[in-house]
Amino acid sequence: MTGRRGLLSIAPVLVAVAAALAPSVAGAHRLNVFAYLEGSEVKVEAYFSDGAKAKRSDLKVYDADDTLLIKNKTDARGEFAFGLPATEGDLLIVVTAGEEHVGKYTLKAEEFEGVAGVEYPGIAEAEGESGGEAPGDIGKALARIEATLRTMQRQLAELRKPRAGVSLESVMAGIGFIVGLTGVAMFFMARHATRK
Amino acid sequence: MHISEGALSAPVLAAGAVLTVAGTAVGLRGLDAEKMPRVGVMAATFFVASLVHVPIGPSSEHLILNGLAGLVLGWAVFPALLVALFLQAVLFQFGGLTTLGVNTFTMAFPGLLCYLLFGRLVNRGPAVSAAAAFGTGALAVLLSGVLVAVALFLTGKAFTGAAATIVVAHVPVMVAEGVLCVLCVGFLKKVKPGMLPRMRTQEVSDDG
Repeated sequence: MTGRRGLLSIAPVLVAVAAALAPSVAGAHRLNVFAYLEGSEVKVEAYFSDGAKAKRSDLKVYDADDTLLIKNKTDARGEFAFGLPATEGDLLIVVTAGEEHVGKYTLKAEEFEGVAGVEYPGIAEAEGESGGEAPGDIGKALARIEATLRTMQRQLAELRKPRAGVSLESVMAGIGFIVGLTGVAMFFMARHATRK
Repeated sequence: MHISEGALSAPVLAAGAVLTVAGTAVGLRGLDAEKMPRVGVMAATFFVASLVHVPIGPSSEHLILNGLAGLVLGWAVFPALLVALFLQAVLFQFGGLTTLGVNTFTMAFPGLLCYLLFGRLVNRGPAVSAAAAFGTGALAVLLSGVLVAVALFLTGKAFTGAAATIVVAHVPVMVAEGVLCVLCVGFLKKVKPGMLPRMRTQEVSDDG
């Protein structure tokens, strides 16, 4: 029974040592892969859960039939961009860093449907129909709209990007789970002991 | 050092699961209500340690503390790390559920080995004790790295490349864990020597 008091004193110390050494709650052990559409280009970002980029890591893109479309490496910022391939269905993007870390992202078909191969025929038609009546303005306006849309796509992508790091809630949940499990185990062990 | 889902082949995953189940079974058999709290404490410590960064070296890896857990728990390191790794997989997405068996074995087994190798030495004089504690912390990480490389090798990756990458990346972690183990063992010797393996042979055999 002397053990119990000693343990109660050691428990917070051990956890405190671990916590004190953690100025930033982060770990390098989840590889996040995120992809979004910008114009007709797919941009891929790969980063670890502590925010470090997955630099020069193997990247593969598969279509819905598991056919390998692209095999390449991320750049020094852990990014990669490719033109939207002419396929239907979801695109699966797989990044492998340091062999044991694999991250995946599925770019849903509905996100890029109708974007691939669009040549903006609207501009040419508008220019032809308007008969030289300020065609440049329409072209400029369209360019401006497109630029705005790109910015919005980027901002939306930023919002949807999985956050790097680990939330305090999940840390507390894990510790609580372990404490509870220990209690349950002790309850059954103690009952077993008293029955004997 | 957690292996992600999809990095290993099915036979390797199955082998890891079998070894972990066996280790957990042995670990649970030696437990009773008296020893249970230390298992909980070490599981919680291991769970939190994965969030502690060692920001030295080429890539920033986190602490593992499987050596310390092994030293304190002996065979019970298996159930403790199994629970902690399960929670890390579910809550942090570190590793994965299919790789839970392999990950538990690659981290718990080196802990157990260090317990068997250094367990008696930590109760000797200060110099021997500190050296044994440092060895526990450092060797456990090194062996885990080698086991991860073995798991990747059995899946079909080149062994030397994977092993070199993983081991080199974890050199700062080895040093950090060695130092931390020395501090923890020193602290435990003063405050709660019962947590360190001393009359452990007696402890393991006396009940079921």
